[in-house]
Amino acid sequence: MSTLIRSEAVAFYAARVRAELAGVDPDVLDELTDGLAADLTEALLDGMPQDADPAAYLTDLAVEDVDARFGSPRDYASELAAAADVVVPAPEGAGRPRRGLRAALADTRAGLRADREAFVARHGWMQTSLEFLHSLRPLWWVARGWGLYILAFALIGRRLVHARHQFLPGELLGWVVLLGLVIASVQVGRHGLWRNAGWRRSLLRLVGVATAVSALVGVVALTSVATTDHAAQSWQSYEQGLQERENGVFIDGRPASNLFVYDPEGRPVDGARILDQDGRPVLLGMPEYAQETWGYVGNSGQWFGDSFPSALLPGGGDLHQYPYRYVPNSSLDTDVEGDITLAPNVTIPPTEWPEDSLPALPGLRSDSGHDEDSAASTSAPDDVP
Amino acid sequence: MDNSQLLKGVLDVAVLAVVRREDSYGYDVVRSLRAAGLTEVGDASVYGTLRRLYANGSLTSYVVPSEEGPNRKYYGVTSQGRTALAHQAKQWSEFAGTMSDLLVDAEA
Repeated sequence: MSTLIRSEAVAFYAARVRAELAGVDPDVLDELTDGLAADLTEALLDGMPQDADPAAYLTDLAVEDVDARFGSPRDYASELAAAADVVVPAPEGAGRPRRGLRAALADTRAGLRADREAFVARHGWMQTSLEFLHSLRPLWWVARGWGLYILAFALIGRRLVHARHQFLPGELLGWVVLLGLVIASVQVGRHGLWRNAGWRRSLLRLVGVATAVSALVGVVALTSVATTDHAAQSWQSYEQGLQERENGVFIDGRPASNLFVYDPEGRPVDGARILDQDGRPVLLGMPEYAQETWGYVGNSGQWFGDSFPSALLPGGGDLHQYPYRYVPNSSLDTDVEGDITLAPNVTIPPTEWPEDSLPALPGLRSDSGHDEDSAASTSAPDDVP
Repeated sequence: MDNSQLLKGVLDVAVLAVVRREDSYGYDVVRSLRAAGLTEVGDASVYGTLRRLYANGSLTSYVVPSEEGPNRKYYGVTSQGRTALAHQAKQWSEFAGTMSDLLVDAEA
């Protein structure tokens, strides 16, 4: 008996039975329902009237006829599964889409990873450079320890240690701390830390990024410090201070720290006072500025090189009297009220003149009279502050 | 108690016995069982049983091409299936004997 003729109704019935078993493992499902349509057709043909034409009979079959013969597809499916000891997974309404999303994400991740590996494999140079970077990891561990030091200092150490030691320690304690952090970082790199914990690993990564940034900042800062001319820089800040105060005497763009007056005979004039056209005293740096830098000096900073105009001391004279007598910082002291004084038993060193004497200028005399050839102004200044 | 309840317990044995007699495909087995007198057996139960016996190794399967219809998957008994069948057949006849003795007065 030929079963080549397909019955639409039978095919539909078989399809519904398969649908009832959706969720079952595909291989198992195939084994269960492979010959289903053929079996159903054959069963139907068995029940066919004797003189009927098989082809016509099959094509004339209605869906209800098939259902009546074999029962509902759902019942058929459950009987089939029960006899086969197959568990049909219950369809979850909201669960299935969620499983699909998770599966889709897993597939995407697997696909991306496979793509990346394939890409790297194709470009051999990338593989070797990755290996090179990998071998540099110990260097990263050291840098990380240093970055931690910088971070720690930035957060807590500013009040404890001078700002100069922001990137490199200046005293023993700082070095000990830096060394400890570097060692800790290397050990963590070698052995790992909290390999499995979720949030702790993310925190560690965050710290890693922060230390990397601070280490980078430290490298930049240190290289810029190492490559600058300190003398020029201190002049620059002094100069900047002067420019901000709009005071000072500049020769070829460089500020003067002292002025020396010689009379027409070429003899040094000690304690000369110099005024400008408005009678204002010529100052090399304002006293207020000096007051500020005195605070700086108190913190073992420096100003005017290593010394300090004696005019700033009580009873030391005027700041527009030249030449300044410079007192080294080591000779300075603080009295009970916190003012600066000369340390006891210290004398102010004599000032060294750049020239003992200058050649006498022709046509000028040392007495108070002026020659008419002189280009100097003859009128006295209007006011002397 | 109708036969269907009884059948559930012995379908394995019945199917094995049919297939042992002759390699058969799905509906073939149904037909054989019906012809032997088990008219209550459901098609789906037979097909499911065939698959279960195949899964646990009592049956093997192969595809036979056919010109009259689609290719059919035929089942045959394995040596394991033969052993299981012999064992269960022995158990069944013992059981049948026990039940018969038990019920000898019931029909009267």
